[in-house]
Amino acid sequence: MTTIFRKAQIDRDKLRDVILKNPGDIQSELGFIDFQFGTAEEGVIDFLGVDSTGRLVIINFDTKENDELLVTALSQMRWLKKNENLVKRVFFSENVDFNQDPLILLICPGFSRKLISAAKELSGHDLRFVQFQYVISDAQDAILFEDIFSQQKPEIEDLPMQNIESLKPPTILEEVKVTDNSIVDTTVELTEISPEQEEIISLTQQEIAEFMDFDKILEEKQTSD
Amino acid sequence: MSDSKKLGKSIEDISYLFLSPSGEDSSEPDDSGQQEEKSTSILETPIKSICMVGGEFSFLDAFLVINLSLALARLGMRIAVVDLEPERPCLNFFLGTDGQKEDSNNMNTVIKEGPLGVKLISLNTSALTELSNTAKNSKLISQLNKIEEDVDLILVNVMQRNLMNMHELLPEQIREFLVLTYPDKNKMIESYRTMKMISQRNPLTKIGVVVAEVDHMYEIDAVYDKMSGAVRKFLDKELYKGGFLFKIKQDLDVNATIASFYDADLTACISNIAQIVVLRLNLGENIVSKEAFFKKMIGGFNAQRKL
Repeated sequence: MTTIFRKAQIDRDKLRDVILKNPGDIQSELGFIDFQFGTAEEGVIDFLGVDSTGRLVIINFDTKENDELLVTALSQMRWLKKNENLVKRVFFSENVDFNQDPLILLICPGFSRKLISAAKELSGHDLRFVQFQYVISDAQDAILFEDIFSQQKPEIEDLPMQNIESLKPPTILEEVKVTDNSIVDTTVELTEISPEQEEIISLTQQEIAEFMDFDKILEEKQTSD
Repeated sequence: MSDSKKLGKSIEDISYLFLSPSGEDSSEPDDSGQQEEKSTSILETPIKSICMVGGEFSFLDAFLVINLSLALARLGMRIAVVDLEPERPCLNFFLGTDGQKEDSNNMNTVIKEGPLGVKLISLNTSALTELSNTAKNSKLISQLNKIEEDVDLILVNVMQRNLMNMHELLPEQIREFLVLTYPDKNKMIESYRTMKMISQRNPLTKIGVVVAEVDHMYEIDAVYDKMSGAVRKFLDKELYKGGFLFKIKQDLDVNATIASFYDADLTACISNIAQIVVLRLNLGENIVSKEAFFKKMIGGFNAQRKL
């Protein structure tokens, strides 16, 4: 017998319970380490989780479409980074890998096109948007979670080989004056400077990731032209 | 109109400089009265300098620096170009490699004079080593000091990969850097790395972007937006648009010189960059102390050698 469901509005407490009891249905191997985690000026993080790699997961949800969720989560992520020592002390027993940037996971009944478009510009962040639909019948209710948007910032090992090459410190050549007096020309020999002599300016993964969508931007500009 | 006042001209006056025939823009003063005014202005106006940081393509860097110096000279400015590159691309572009060899046994090869009174100074490591022996080359050093007194602007040419080495030698007076950037993400990362280094050394330094090797106009904004976004985000700094250069369409001869190579589109681009440079100089943001430019550079090289 086919059960007929109708879309319905879920209340916030019920949705929180559903998420709390079914973390694996939101993201595989997700475990919660805290919920209603206050960040003072940046508001409350609905759930803090850890995924299978030890990465911190910031989960915020709403029962209606809410573009502000992303901004709030980003500012909360900033707060977590700023207060890293405090967060480490609070969750020292939770096997959190603080070297990884947190994943932002948002759960909403819908996400606006503008929000998804804006999120695509945030290529330096791991983002995941999950849409849900709450339905009820006469006898039961159900909730369907669906991935709408997922984005991972490029890791160093994911970069194409040519990019890896570019990350290596450039070979710097130093001029050495020829000492042979029989040569009057000021021709110079070039010898490599050892890496210890170089002043290498290192870039963070976030800095490198910032440029990784450039080809796509060029393509879009070419199309729009 | 005296030369010394041209640097202090308002934005409205710039159009006059570009519209006037080049013949009227003589860099030589007309009479002794103007000469006196010029001397006074040198004392009042500290030296200004811009460091042009090129990419991997030394010919294009030399082309830009030399043509920019000539474009600025046509506007009445007295320019010195300081080439820090080991292979002296600016000197090659000016004289050709044969011309350079002709007087290679003469230390005066360090200083050359080009069209419109542009002074070309090659200060690679060999030249700096020679100059560090002040007893032997005091005459040359005093020549450099004289040039420093006489010019309105020193344009320094160095490539990104060598800037890492030479950076400590660059005098503090250089508060303005123009970094060549290309519409290629890997090269942009390298340009960003350069900007980070410049910014770390002196956060007050102004950095501009010249987008080179441009095929399509949309590439200019795309590169600038991406670079300025990254610099704003991670270095908390604002970039300015320094202009752009179209891709060279001709087949390149590595021995090309100023006499053998001409590209009308690129020349127009360089006029635009020159206009931006003049406007930037009028802002007065890079006016710094009067401490001797070359003295500081040679002194810095000596200190580095002792280490």
